[in-house]
Amino acid sequence: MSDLKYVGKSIPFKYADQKIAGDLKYVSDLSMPGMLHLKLLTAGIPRGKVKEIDTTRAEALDGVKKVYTFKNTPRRPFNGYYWYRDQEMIKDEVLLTDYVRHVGDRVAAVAAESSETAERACELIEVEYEKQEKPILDLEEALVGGDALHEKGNPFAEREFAYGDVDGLFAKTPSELIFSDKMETPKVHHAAMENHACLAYPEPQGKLTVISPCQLIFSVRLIISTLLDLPLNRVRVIKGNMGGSFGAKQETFLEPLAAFVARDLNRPVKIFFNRRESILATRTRSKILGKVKTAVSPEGKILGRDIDVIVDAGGYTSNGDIVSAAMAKKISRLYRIEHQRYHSYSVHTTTPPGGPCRGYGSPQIHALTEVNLDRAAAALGIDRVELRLKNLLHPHEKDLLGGPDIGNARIIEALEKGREEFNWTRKKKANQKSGRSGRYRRGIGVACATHVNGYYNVYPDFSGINIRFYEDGSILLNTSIHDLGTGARTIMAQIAGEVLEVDPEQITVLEGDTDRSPYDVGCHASRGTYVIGKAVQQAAVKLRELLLEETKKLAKNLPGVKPEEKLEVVIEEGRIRIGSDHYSYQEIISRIQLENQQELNVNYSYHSQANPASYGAHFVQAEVDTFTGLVEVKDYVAVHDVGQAINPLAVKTQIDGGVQMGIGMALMEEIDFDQKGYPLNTNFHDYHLINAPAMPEIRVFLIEDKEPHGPYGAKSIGEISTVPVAAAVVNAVNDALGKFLTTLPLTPPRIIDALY
Amino acid sequence: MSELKVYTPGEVKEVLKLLHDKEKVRILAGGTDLLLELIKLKREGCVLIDLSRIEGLEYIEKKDEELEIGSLVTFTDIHDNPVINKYAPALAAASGQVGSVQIRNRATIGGNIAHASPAADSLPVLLAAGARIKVLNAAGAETVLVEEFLHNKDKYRNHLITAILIPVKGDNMIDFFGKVAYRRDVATARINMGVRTVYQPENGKIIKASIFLGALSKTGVRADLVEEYLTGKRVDELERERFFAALRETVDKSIPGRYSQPYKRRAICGLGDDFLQELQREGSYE
Repeated sequence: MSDLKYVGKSIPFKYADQKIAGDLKYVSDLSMPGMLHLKLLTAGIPRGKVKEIDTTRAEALDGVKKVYTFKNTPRRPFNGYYWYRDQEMIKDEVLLTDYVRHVGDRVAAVAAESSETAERACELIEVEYEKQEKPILDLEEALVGGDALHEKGNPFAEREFAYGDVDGLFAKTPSELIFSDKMETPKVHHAAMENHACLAYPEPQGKLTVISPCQLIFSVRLIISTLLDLPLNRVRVIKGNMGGSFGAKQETFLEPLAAFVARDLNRPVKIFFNRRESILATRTRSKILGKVKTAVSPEGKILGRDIDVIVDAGGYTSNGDIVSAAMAKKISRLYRIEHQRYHSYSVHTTTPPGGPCRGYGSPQIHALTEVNLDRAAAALGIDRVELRLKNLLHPHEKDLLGGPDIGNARIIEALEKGREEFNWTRKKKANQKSGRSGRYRRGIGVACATHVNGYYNVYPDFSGINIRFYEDGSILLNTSIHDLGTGARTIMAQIAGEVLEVDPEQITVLEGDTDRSPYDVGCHASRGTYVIGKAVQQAAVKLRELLLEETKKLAKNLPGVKPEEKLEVVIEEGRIRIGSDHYSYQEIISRIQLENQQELNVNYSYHSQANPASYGAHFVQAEVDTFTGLVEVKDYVAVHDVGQAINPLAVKTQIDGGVQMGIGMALMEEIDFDQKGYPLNTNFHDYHLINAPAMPEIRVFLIEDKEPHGPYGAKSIGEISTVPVAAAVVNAVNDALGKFLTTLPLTPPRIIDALY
Repeated sequence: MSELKVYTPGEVKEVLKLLHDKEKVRILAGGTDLLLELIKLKREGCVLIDLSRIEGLEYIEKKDEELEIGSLVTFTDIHDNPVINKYAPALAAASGQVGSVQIRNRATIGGNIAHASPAADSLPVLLAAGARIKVLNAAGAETVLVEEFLHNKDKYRNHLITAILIPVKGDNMIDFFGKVAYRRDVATARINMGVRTVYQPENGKIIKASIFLGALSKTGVRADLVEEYLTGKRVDELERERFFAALRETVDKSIPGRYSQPYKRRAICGLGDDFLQELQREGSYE
């Protein structure tokens, strides 16, 4: 089939052995001489203006170095989502606040000699609030209630995207062909195994270094430099080893605080969150309340769609409005729909802020639209897979909303492949036979979905690469890749190794360090493989050219070569052939260094050429216990249109994890609040994830049909893998019950409530 | 400054002396509940008596009509033990559903009773079987019903549980344990149920039913309405809906108006249904 040597191979991840043995040092494991521990005092109440903070008792505690509040920290507002200079956005967050907008809001911080002392001191801080104000929890109320957390009021943003003639279409469509749903998706915790952490330390000459397990070192540097008034060359940010992010570590809020304290006290400072803090005081998947209305012809052609969404940004703006735009930009990239409108409001509520979370709005918008399609299919008596097949986009078809070319879109093959592997028709017949009676009921569900490959045409989307040969033929690949645990470094080594015909084992891949790595906009938006991987491929091509060029210079001087002889110089199977003689890289590169006095070193900057769509079609068989409301996923098929799997093992593990997160969103994950705005589940005892015993085996199938601008034809998998999941699971549960449940997650009490 | 002091005595009598002499004493057996409180205990000051060097409390024996289980036996060992599987199958089943594999490898039955979490999985089964425990303090030994112990925990403060005594399941009995949690594994029970029924071998009539529900109140709740309904009936005379209604009513009486009531009153029928199936499997009288 293909003659690829390293690409397409399931090579185990670099550093996996260290992780498994527990040898890898995460930021929380790091220690420095004289290091102080920083602990946050989070509000503990949902909302209120600070009247007075008394820190005297905390300060008196032995081992406490200093207590910080809004009184002695920078007041300059920022937005943790700020990722490139001059990005326009609402900046409404400060390091430590005097007005609490959610329970996890940062009110004070203690720097102490030990983390225990810092924690005890936090408990000794007495905060008096003017009064505890009314929480804002309900999104529809937030929209019209006139209550606001910030100057701009609620809603703080409104968006509309439309094409075609939506009003005209709905006016002429008979009501029996219009299908409406209202869907609530939950505020979800990212649940990376590693909680948030960072370490900041002062260096000579007023310089500051921060080690952070983040997704975007250059943005962390930018925010620190802006808030602390330091030129960029005085701030160095190093990406620390990471125990997962899923978007949670894409925003910057801990680093500037730690950096400020480190400078203020001239000592290293480490902050390390516990689970409660990670749930309440970081970011969440944005909750949405969506309404959708779809007009479908009796034959199953989707004629038009009208979507209204309220986005819950939580206590601070963050990316609340941007995630809304991201949702809008998915609606025209899956099905051919001639008339569409998307309208949204974004509101602040007294809950932890929404932020980037794997899929960035896509799981939410697909939950709304894919569950709604099932309603149409049921009413029209059309098979749910057939209905989708009638409307899916073909490769290179136009995105009617005007987005970038969808590229080599292979969703139709994916859906057909899934139908076959899942045994859709047979399972459907079996369900029809058993009917909807008895305690345990089985249902099947399907969902299709699309997601991005970077930011092409919307935001900066470029990546610098430095790649060099060492004189023994091994390679240093210096990138600003942030390996979030996905195996990104291994994948980059496979790509470079393929180009240069060098075993990936012989390639060291560096992660980001703002002082030493080339610039990159960060590892988010599923751009790691598609954009940075392409940058690596191109840089490696340049290095290969350089190697050949320098070898040609060298060839003249090789023993036995006549000066007038024109020699063919080529690379063959990881060796260099000059004329009829073969040489190892080591022999040649050593001589290039000695004789040509030239380093084989390439600096290359690549900017993305496209943003094709990635696709997935997921199939679920679920069994519902109608007595207890428990749902068990019995069978799961995930088919993805990935262009080319660089590392099939990595692709499979991404999909496994994506499905795990998605089932959680469908069935159990939700940061829940009581009516007064206090959180009900702030640890893993009360906040349930799908765990290993509850996971079905995920049967993964890949459609590999190369994407023109991807490295070796590859496109993204990290986010798309979780996008269709919740919708597919909900569709299976609804099929089992003969209902259209749309308030996620479908917890046992919600299912029981719907049944009795 | 408060401190955490840990003693690791080698003999039971030293344990009893420590329990008698020290204030703020806690016993460390498997530690799966206690360790969650460790930071708090360290801060508040506490004397921990670590039982890891105590020998002789890890036995399982059948003595006539009773099973005797040492208090330091882990749930894994209970779950795997053939004698317990034969004579107290519901306890074996409940033990296999406590926490996770890792928790079951550490957690002890004595600790589960002493800690007495409302959702503890061993308790409904022990209550339904009329189990007793042996407790010791400096003054001497005592044997007390689990039910009595749970209602008088203060009285038994500073005692050490050394053994659990469970009346064995006879041939004419059916034991049952069921649990509803929001996840199949590694989850706390939303509701659990332990049952022991005695029937007349001649005609299959249930002559005694003992049913306890957990996770409804601080200690197990006796489902007296359900017991009443079952008593005197043959399995084939049971009406599902009336049986379920009695279960629902028990829940309603226990947690009226509580947020979880609407769910638990339904979920209990799931356990009821499982139990009826068990009855039909084991107790159908031919």
